[in-house]
Amino acid sequence: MDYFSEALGAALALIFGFDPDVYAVVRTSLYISFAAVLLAALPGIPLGILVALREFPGKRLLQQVLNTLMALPTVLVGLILYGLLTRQGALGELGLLYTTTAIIIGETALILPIIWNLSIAAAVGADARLLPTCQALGASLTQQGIIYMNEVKFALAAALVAGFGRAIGEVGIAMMLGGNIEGFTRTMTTAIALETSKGEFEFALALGLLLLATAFLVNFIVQRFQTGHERSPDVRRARR
Amino acid sequence: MNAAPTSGARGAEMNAIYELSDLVVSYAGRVALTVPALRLERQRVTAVVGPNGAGKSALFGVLALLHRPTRGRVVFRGESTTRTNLTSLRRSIGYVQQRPYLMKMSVRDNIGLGLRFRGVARATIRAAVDEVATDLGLEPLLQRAAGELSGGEAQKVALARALAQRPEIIIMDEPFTWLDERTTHELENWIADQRRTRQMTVIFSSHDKLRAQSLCDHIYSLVDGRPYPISSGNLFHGNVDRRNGVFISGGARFALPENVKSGRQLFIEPQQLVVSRKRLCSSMRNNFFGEVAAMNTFNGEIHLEIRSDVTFNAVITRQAMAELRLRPGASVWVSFKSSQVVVI
Repeated sequence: MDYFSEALGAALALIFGFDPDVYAVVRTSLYISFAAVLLAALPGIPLGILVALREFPGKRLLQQVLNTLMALPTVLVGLILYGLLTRQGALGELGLLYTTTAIIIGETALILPIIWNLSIAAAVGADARLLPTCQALGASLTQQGIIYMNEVKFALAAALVAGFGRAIGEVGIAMMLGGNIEGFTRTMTTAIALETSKGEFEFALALGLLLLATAFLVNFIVQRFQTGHERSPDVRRARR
Repeated sequence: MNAAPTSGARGAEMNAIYELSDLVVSYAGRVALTVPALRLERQRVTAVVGPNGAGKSALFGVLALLHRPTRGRVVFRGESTTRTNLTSLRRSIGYVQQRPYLMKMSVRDNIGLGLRFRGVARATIRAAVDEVATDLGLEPLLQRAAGELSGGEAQKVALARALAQRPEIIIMDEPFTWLDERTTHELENWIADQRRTRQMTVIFSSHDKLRAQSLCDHIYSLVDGRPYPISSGNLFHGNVDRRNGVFISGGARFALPENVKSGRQLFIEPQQLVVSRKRLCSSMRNNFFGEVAAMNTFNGEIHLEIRSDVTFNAVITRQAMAELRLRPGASVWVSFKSSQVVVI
């Protein structure tokens, strides 16, 4: 047997043998990504809907900035936050560098523009009659926002999933802010990079497969949301 | 300009619910609507008529307080609209769009939505929804998802949603467009009820002038984004005399198309009337002698009011006016073909 298939066999053994080291890393990754999605969604979704509903000076510029930030290089986020969180940095006293909290902050900064921007797109994509209908029914701005969240919930869910996918798959921030400390800040991506360079190929491959499985699961959920959306009565009526 | 009164009961209390002045509405720099002055009466049924693209929806957007006019003043219930009172003023208006949008909720939740926005207690909302659903025959639909409804059902649910808020005013943009015959009839009856009971101000638009005239107290006409004098419509109430094939209204007898057997209202477009100084020798079977009571210029046309057994409104060109040497008090003949008469 060649090197790769041998390693693949060993990797599968690690996965299905529920190797504690492998799953500890997976758990850390999932925890960080879910936390980042939650923290980014809390301001991101309401801000997205607000931007979509309101006209204000600088709206176009804001959207252009958000579009640019969607392709933010992860190492740049890592670099800036490193500068802030390092002992000599402005927030150095908090002692956050090389903690999961630091990674969560970094991932949140990375995916906030994504969730914000996709939430704008989701709300703008709502039926053009929705806003005048809400206003005519006497909805306040907050009430309009709540109705929008319900009306475009599938598109918003897709925005969250896109943010999650970006957070779990990135390596730059996790490496620079987390430091890849075993059993503490080691994520799937940083572990893969490290274990490969150490020659622990099967361990890296096991994590790679689990990352792939996570990505697949994420895509599966997105698709479910989309088909769920297609099955919703409004779309059905439009197709008739 | 006041919305021109048509026939119909007129109560003693005639105060304005809307007063619009020097109103201009533009979209992307293009003027969609110009209204020098408009006063709409409380607790009356007002119809806004005009062809598609006449500016009816632009006007309704302003009346529903959804669009700020580009220029001009909107006084609603004696109050000018400001940023702070906008939501509370909107809450006294029930607005039904031309193609209403229903939320992705059950029919029940849709109908109760306006009340929910007002922070009304759940039980009260439930009772209000049940009441309005009973009135409009919507109980069987209450548990259904709004997206599953037909166009006519959705329109009725939108009306119910507006009514559940117990608004002072109900504004309906082209409510008859998507309705089947039965629902059309129900809505006509509903409007007729409002006109009789005088509990609500109803404003609706239609491109069907005839239907509008038969349903409203006041009518306001728009053409190309400008008010157009509706007094130019000719609507007469009376009865068909089947034996003689004529329609009798007051002292006037109208020759009818052969297929007309019944009807209580006769309508003839002002543009179809031929005005002459001498009786015409033609195939036109309707000929009335009268005198010019009023003349108005509008958009390059001359609008005439001609008093005969009934009062006719006719539209002629400037050239025709010059050729006929018309002036108020002049004797004229009004002629039109029986085939151009509509009886409903």
